[in-house]
Amino acid sequence: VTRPVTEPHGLVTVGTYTALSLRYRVQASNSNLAAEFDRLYQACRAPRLADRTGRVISLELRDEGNDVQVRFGDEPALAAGDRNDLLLATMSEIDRASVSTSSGDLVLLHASAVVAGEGPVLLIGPSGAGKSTLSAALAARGWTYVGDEVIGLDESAQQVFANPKPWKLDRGSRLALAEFGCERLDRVTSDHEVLVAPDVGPAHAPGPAGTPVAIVRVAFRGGAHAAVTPMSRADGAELLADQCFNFSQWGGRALDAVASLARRVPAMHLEFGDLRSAVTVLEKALQ
Amino acid sequence: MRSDGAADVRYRACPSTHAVDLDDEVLIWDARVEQLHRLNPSAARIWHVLSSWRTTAQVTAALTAETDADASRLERDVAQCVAGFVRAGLLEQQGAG
Repeated sequence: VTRPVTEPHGLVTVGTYTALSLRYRVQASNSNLAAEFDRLYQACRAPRLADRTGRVISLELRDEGNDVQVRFGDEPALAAGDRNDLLLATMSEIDRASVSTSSGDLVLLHASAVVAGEGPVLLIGPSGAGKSTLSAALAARGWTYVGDEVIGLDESAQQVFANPKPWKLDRGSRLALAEFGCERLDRVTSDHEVLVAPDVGPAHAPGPAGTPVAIVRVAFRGGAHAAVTPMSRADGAELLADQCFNFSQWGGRALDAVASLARRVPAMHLEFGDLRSAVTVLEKALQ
Repeated sequence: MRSDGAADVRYRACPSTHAVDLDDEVLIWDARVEQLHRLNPSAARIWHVLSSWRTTAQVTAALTAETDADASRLERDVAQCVAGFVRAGLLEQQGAG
């Protein structure tokens, strides 16, 4: 357990965390906010050695009366309406900074990832497809959570890089997850999206998380019968390309990477209308 | 007899393109306009022939050996496909007047 240290200018040092190639040191204006951040980002804590090496960007969280702000590095401070909004804004800032910092090192996929058995399964789809909710449900089932929103892939497509950040979940997702033993989620009464710590099951440490074993296109559609259908290799590669944050930057090298992955591992389309059925059919398909 | 020279035009994949084969389909990244294209198996076969300078007649001849399609229909399909590649900016041309 680390004890927060109060800095001379009134900020509490929370710790140093990683998001792929990004390393950032977090300071907060009070110990409650510091503890809240650390609870959410515990799985992203940087190894102790990393605290003293490389470039570290400072992230400041200020919650003092009506002054609720986040400042990341040299960027102008962002003001938020309340503490929940502040944490959501902070996550957006971290995601944005991790993409820009990691863009030259890794192919960055808009995906969630969980490990079942031999290696990570990439859950891919546009915003609202159900990636986060599904990965949380799978984590609650004992799959190892690898990350959400921004997942790294090396150029050879042999290694997934973990980014075990909190999930951003709306009320419907939280209620659905309550069925999976995440009872505390249905007590979060806010109608808004909230951040949820990935402590419902095991989480992978930041860094290399293994060779991917499957690509799953996730598609939530209200009322749909849960079903998994195979995708062609071209479908798989096109999906990866479409959901790649830095595809344009990497160009042909990114195309080679996603094609290499699509040739090696099965790609499948998972459509579902309820979470429990989705987990059942996906677990069966991946056996 | 007058010729408009169209038959003499030669085509080749633009250097800005980068293609990968996935089974019998092809994905092409065009770095010039930062766009990804996907070719079905028929278009993919034509694309492969255009890795070096070819007229549409040469493309048709190259494909005739590997298909049972009617020659005139194949010629028409090749012409349409090449025109589509040109419109998409995937080919460079020589002898286009």
